[in-house]
Amino acid sequence: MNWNILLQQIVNGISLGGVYALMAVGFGLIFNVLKFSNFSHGGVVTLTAYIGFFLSKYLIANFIVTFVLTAAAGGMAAVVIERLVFRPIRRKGYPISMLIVNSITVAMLVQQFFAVTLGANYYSYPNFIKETALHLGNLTVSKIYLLMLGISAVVLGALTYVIRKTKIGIAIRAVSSDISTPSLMGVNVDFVISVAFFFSGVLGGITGYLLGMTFTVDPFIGSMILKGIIASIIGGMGSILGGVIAGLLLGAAESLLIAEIGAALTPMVIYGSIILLLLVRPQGIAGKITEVKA
Amino acid sequence: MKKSILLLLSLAVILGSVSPVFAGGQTEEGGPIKVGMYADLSAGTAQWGTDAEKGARLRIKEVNEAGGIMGRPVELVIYDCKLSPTEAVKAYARLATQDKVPAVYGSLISNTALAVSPVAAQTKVPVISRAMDERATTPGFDPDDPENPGPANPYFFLLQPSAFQQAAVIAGYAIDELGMDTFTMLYDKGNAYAEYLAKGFAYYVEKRGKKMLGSFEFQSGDVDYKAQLTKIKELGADGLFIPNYVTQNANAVKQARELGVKARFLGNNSWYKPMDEVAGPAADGSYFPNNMTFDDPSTQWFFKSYKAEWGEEPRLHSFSGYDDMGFLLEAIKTAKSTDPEAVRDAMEATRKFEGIIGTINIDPQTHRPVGLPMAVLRFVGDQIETVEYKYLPKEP
Amino acid sequence: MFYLKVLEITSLYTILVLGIYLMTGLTGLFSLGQGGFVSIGAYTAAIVYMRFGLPFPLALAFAIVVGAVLGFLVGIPTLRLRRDYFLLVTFGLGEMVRAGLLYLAQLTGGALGMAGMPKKVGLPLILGSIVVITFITYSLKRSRFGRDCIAIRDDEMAASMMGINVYAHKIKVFMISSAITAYGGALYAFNILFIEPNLFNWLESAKLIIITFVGGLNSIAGVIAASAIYYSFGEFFRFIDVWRDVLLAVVVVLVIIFRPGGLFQGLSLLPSKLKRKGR
Repeated sequence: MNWNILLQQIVNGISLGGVYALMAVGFGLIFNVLKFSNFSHGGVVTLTAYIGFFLSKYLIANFIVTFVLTAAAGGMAAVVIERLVFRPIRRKGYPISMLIVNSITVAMLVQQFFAVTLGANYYSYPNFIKETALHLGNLTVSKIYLLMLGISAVVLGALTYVIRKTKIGIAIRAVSSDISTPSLMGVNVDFVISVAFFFSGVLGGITGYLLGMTFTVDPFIGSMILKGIIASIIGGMGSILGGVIAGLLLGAAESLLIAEIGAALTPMVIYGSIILLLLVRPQGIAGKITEVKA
Repeated sequence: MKKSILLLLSLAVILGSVSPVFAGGQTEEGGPIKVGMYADLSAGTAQWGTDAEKGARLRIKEVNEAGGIMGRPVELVIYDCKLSPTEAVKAYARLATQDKVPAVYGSLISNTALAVSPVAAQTKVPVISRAMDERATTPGFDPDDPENPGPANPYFFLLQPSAFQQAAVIAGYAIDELGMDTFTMLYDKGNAYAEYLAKGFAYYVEKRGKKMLGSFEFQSGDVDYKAQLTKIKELGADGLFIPNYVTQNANAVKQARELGVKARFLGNNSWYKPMDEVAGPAADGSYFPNNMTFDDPSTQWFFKSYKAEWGEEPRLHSFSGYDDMGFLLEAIKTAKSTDPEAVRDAMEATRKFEGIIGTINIDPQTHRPVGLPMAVLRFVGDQIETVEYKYLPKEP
Repeated sequence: MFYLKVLEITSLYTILVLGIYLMTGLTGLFSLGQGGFVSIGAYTAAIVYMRFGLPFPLALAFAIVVGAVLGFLVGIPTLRLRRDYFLLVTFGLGEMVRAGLLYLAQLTGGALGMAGMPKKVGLPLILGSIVVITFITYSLKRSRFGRDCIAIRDDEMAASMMGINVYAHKIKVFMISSAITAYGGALYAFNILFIEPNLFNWLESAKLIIITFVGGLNSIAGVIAASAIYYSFGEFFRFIDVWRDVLLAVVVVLVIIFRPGGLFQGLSLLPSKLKRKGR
């Protein structure tokens, strides 16, 4: 294979990886910090993809404004989901498996709701960016993918700072390792968790908006989140950075594999490798081994 | 434990016997004629299903305004099959045995058609369908030996050109009118509709002595095809055939443009609206076949009618619903009976049903239409225009 | 005839729900990839019958054996992982099965699926299977084996401290569940007569899990009832059938919050008089 093509494929891969990294970061906040696999994140992504569409098509045709509004909507949606669906379970002390089942259910609810109501239509965001690709010499890179990658990096940095250095971040970490002690120390656990969900929802909103913009909006857009979730998991529990790196690797591996062995075999190789990785190193690339709680 | 099973069973039976109160089969002479329909009203291809329903209802309304059939009004009984083969089978069974319709209009999509086809053969209530998969009408069809399709399912009819026929239309046009010699294609490996179109395309191209330089697949859930498209760009063929569903085609086209793929894009009948909204100017210069076209002067009245009735522009399957229901009703009229066998025979004998999409001429051997031309359209910028109103490709 | 068909289809899905009841309801193993086992069972039976000409009962037997063996092979590496990792890994496996079926088109027909199976499976076989499977599940549940399952589900660490070999136990459960699921798939192939690789995706697998929760983790009858209601819902409530999955989701969320034992948690297979005291 000549070098130009190879380089382009690598570029394709890394930019696709940027998409996955963004998803991994959104999912990863709850996963890595609260140690809970929140599948409803896919539902938030779907919801915000639609919200972003309707805002930009019918209300305000401004990229920045609708982008910010959608992100905020995502944050609020996540908080609502937390309060309605997860908090009651948490309060009553049910096992984590209930939370997981409910999170999958919420994702399904959102998907099916849109399938029934708006599923018959395909929505396309207005073209904010005229020329969607950047041409560097012989290489083509999609601007939006770059944007996703960039946002992931920024968010990662911001989150790391917040989690390590700010009061709210420390509170979130405290809550994740032990639900009861922080409240004894005066931390308002409910509030802290809501904040964490708000952040993850904002990320979900960003993801939904950007995904909707790049690919068409349909009820199944939330299913793409599964790749991001996988990246988070490979990246390892406890490390958002791990999730981001894993996302990039996943994207790169996928592109190169598809180019080399075709899309038919690629899932088998990818999933097979992931399974192997988790067997050999269950903590993922960068995670720490945590106790299984019930 | 047997007690509870018994309990469940008796519950089912009781509910079952109570239900006819709500349902109700074909009533005595003089009551309305019920015709059955099942379609995807939710799930991935919901837009097609709901369009077809609207087209069908419009036709029924017109027929009723003209006095109905044999003096009786026509009533539509429709169920959602949610793109699921098991739901489609249930819906068909209900229509055939509960509602006792003389014929069923179903399956825009092949997977439901393939599940219903054997059931139709057993239940003996005819089904008309748009499913382009050859196996729905001729179950023994082998895509590697398309000349010998085998016997037809007597109770299943296709009312549009099949996958191989449609692929031939665009391939033929590309070779003869656009002068192309080399081709590549990108299709959804997990979708029989796309795969059959792909095989049909390759078959025709090779039979005409032209070359397929490469054939690339993607998995059904994928949205990014840059890896495949980069290789396609490298191969530099004249044409790139992209025969999938709307969103996949749109994604493929936008990404291909971004990467600078030089080939001209060739599509399938999923390139009609709303592909123009979803793909936009990236589709410029592409050609695709379609069952109908929107600026055909002979069909303008339908646009007005449909818009007046439903408040929106008709799309491809609005036409399908209108024509297919028309075919079904015509068969009942010709048979002068609501007996499914008589209706079936009338369908098989239909030689010149004038639909808005073309004259349907059923081939009794294959239960598919013969010599049904398609329109060829192209994108200029993000607008669709008609290039040919009725095109039939050369025999390979 | 129509109601027969509905009963057939509902019962088929109920077999699948029962298949995962053992692993998810009793033992707390969540798999988004059981759809893969349905497909494997369906394709194994279909291929063995259609391409190799083996008699139908053998085809069924093959499906069961392949299901169990694959359950074993898959379980060995994956059952050591935590719950949500297992969930994702099984999702990946489901996708691998789908990709594999598409790829081995020579054998499986690829995206075109397989058709032409004769209708060997009717209501008697399906209902009979439900009875047998229910019996098996019930006996397991009531036995020491079942109690160990529940112990694992509720608190794995405690269970292992009580001397249960959690890992070995999970593998046995997974094997049995997978065998039942594969069997259900085989029945599907010879009843619906058309199978394709997209038959049972992760969403359908998720629904099986969800229905189990609605039915009640400790109640086999509850799970059967929930399954029967969900899969035949459309027949009795045509006008809102489109909303079926949304309704299911809402019901599940409510049930888990307010009635975590399941909607039918009190329902048991035998009237309480006949049950032994103390579980």
